[in-house]
Amino acid sequence: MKFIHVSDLHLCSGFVSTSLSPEIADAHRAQLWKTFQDIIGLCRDESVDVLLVSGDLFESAYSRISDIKSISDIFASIPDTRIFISPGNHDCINNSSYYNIVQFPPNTHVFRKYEEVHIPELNCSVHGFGWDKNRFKEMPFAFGEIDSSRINILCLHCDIFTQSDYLPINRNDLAMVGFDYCALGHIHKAQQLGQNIFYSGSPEPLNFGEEGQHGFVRGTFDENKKASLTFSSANHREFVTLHIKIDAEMDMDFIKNEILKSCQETMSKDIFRIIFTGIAHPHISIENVMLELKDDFYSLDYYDRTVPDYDIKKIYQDNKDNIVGKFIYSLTQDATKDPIAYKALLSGLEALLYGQEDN
Amino acid sequence: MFIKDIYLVAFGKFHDKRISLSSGLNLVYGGNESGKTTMHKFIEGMFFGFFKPYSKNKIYTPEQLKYTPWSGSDYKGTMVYEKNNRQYRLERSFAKNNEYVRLYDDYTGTDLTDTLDYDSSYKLPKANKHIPVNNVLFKNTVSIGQLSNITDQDLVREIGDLFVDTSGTHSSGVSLKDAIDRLEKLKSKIGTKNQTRSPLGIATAALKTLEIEKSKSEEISALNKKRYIELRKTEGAIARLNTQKSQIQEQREHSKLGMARTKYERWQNLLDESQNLEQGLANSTMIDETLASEFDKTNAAIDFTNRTLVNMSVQKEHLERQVNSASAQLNEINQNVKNIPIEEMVEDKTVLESTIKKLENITAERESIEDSSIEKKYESVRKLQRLFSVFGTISAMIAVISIILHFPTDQRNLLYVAIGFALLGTVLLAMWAITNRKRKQVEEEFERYDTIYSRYANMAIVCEIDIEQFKKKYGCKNLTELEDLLSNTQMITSKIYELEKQETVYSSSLAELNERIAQLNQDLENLKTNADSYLEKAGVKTLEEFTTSTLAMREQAVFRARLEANKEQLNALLSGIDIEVMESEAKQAISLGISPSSIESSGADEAIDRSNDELLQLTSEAAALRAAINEAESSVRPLNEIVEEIVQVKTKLNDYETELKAYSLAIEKINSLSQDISESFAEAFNSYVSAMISEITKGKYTRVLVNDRIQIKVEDKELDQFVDVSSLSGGTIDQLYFCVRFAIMDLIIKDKQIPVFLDDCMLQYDDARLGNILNLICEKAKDRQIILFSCRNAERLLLDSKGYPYNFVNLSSPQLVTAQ
Repeated sequence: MKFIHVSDLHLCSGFVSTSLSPEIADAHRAQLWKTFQDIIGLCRDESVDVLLVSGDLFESAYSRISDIKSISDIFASIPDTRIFISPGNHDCINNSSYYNIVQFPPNTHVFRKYEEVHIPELNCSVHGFGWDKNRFKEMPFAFGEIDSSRINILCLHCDIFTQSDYLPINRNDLAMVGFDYCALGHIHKAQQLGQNIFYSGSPEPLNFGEEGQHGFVRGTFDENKKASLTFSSANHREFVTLHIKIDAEMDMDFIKNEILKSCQETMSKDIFRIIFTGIAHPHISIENVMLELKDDFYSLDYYDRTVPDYDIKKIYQDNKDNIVGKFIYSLTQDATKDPIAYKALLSGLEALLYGQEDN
Repeated sequence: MFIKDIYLVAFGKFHDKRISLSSGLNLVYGGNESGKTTMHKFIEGMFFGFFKPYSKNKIYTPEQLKYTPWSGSDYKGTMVYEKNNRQYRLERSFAKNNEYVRLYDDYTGTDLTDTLDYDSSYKLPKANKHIPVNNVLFKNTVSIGQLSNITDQDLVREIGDLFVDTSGTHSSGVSLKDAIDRLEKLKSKIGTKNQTRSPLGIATAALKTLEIEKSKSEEISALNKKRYIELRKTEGAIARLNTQKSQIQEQREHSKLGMARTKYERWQNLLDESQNLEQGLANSTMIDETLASEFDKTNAAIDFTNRTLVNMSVQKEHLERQVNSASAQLNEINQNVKNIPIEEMVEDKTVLESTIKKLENITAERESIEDSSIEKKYESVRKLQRLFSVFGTISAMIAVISIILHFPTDQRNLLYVAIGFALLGTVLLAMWAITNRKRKQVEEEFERYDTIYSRYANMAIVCEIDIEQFKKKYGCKNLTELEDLLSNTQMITSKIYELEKQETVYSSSLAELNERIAQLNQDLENLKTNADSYLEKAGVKTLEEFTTSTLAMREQAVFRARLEANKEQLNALLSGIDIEVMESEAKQAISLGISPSSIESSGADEAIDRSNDELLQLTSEAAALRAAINEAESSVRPLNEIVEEIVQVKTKLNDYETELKAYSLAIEKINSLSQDISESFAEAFNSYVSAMISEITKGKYTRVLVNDRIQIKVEDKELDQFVDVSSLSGGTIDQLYFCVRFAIMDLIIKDKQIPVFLDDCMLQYDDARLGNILNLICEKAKDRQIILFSCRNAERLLLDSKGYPYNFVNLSSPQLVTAQ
């Protein structure tokens, strides 16, 4: 029996924490669809018997009728593949869920309560559960007995790592049930947790912090229920974060070259974010550097986390008795905790010292 | 502290230039571009280097490049200064790749570099160990720059600013107003939410618009969900209707095929029949029509007569049954009433009723007089009498016996006993007699009662005997049966009458019928005779032969008629019909097992039309819903795009608001601190300046006040009032300005041993005012080094004229100038 395990496609996603430009965001959304269709194509070409989707297939908050109909049509294009979906927190199957509104083709089964679906011709049972709300502080069901004469597959959206609000599950308890394969979803980074417990991860990265390879799991079971599993890479681009620390020795060209050196191979394909730290140099305009580089990159974003070149300690020492020193003293303590106080300190100092430096 | 010598090894335009200075006033003279500023900057550079102050990094100021030696040689110099009677030599290299700072004891040559604090930003020792100011203060406090082209009013304003700034900051070079203005400008660059063209206003408006767009998109999404549910229902209805329509169409088709089969089979039958008819025509023979007609008539009459006879026979049987029935019922009735005449029965009924009534009366009377007590009373009296009799007898006997026994024994007891019992016997006898009379009375009474009672009983017996006789007469087991029987006499009478009447009528009808039957039989015989004669005339022996021939003849006409009819039917059947199509449809019907049908499914067409209309309606609705869904989706951007933009705008708004809050906080802190400083410092500052101006003006002006509107007033001792400083003479204003500057130096730096640099700051003064200021400066120079840079000779001339001591440095001269 051949199967493919995929999860966390997050079709129609909104990339709210990535600060992508609208064009890049749209392009990435389109890429998610393309990757999804590539996986479906693989199911067709390789006559995959079962496709397991362990949650977060789409973002229900942002999806439209036409989007879900497209998913349904895509599923219908592989009528010989049995598709099992266990909805997760982003596509939970509540009253207004698209799963209840749009009709999915006969080859697609969407789990609601915890249940077992038996496929006699494959001697296989797929066990699954569909979230009907977007939080579960504990497991809302118990695993039942399984018939070990069959291939038993679990398809579930859950958190096996922490006692979170996302259906926490105990790894040992799961291992003891005796599933032949656990197709888990929710964690976007692909990882293997036991002999047959996998998070397939999202096929495409969705955010900075989801760096590295993304894809899905392919597997086969032989007559003796022995599984053969491989991870297949599927992502077409990556989110890459680069850290650059500015110092007084650098100039703009140097910084530019450093960036180009690090990003050259994939800058036309991947989504980059550069985080600048260190001390702001009056001769270096990070904004200008980025403007000059912008056109060389598919997507380039930056955070300027440099600090102004003020030696506050020194300033305070030299100005203890006057308003400058007193100003520093009045805000220093708060500035360590409160970004507004920190900003007030720097901007106030700059304003107070501005005239002095030029005199 | 004062600077003694400076040696510009290579600095700017100077190369190997030595300049000696003295404590007190130093006049450094040189024309434009002679190097006055270069020398000033050299001194500054020696103490502080050319680095951006307060920077964590070593960032060179433009001066570092500006004063790179023209000669291209080493960029360095030496400065010797004295402090607290010790002489120090400071050596410094300004070259980027060879920077150093070294301090030596100029007397002993001891390297004191290690005693200097290390500046980790510049990575050099701090050279300003003996000058208690930083670079900024040095530039802003101990250096007084050019005041060219400044009017008196400007000067007054400058003084006011100095007052305010210094009072509020306890510093110099820090302009409160400028700082706050700068922060306010930064705030105004961001703007407010209500300023629609400001970045904050634009972002706020953008967010509002986006939120509205988001709401709309969400509404449309929710609405589209509802529409889609409706669409699915409609599509479901369309599918069901299509199925229904298909079924009707199939039924109609079946019906059509059935009809076709029917027509086809009818056509086949007609063809076969026509063939048979034609065959028959060919086989038929002729017979005389008249004879046949007559024969037919006779035959018909025979048939008719036979049928009539049959009917009559049936009627006869019916009538006979009727008659028999009536007779039977009559017999039954008679048997039921034992053949007793009905009149007698009526009379018996009356008698019986009266007998019963009489019996009832007797019984009632007897019951009313019945009194068992009389008999009981009689019996009781008799018993009593017997008792008295018996006991009386016994008593008498005992008395006799007792007397008899007394006499021989003479026992008194026995006598007494005899007497007693004799008395008793007497009493009992008396009682007996009474009772006997009573008994007789009761007996009489009883006899009377008994007689009446017995009479009633006898009467009752008589009645009962009569009743028994009736019962026996009518054969009834009990009185109830008898009463029922006799009560039905009226009905029986009617019934008998009716039955007799019926019997009579039926018998009469039967007799008539029999007559008619006889007549008809006779007629039949006659007809048969006629028929035989026709047979004879036709030359046939039997009726069958005649019939066959007649039929054959008749058949021809019939056959022809039927053939014609068949032809017409065939034409009608085939009108507008393609035989091949009909045959094909019929065969199709046969193959599908569809039975022949004569019923057109006319309703199917209407049903299909209705279905089509409904389908059109539903399809239209479905199309409208699809269009509405698509149009709605197209009318708004996808929600994910909107939300992404909202997040970005909110981030921007957050940044703006953070900045605004930060700037506001900074302004608030600065104002608050300035207020605090002002409260603690302003008075001291005012006092100091007041003391200074009083000293300078020799008590003419004693106090200086600056109000919160930065109006400066000076107390005129002579006028004994405060006058606005703008009303003072230019010279006085000048003095006031320099007083303030020196006051700032003294109060902020506190170390009066700091050299003061006056850099061409009196260019605009005429000699009178210049002289005035020089007086002040020379006064100040008594206890501090003052280095006065000037491009004019006027200062020198005035100093010389006033006889003030000073050290003259002529930068235009290539020689080393020593102190005078």
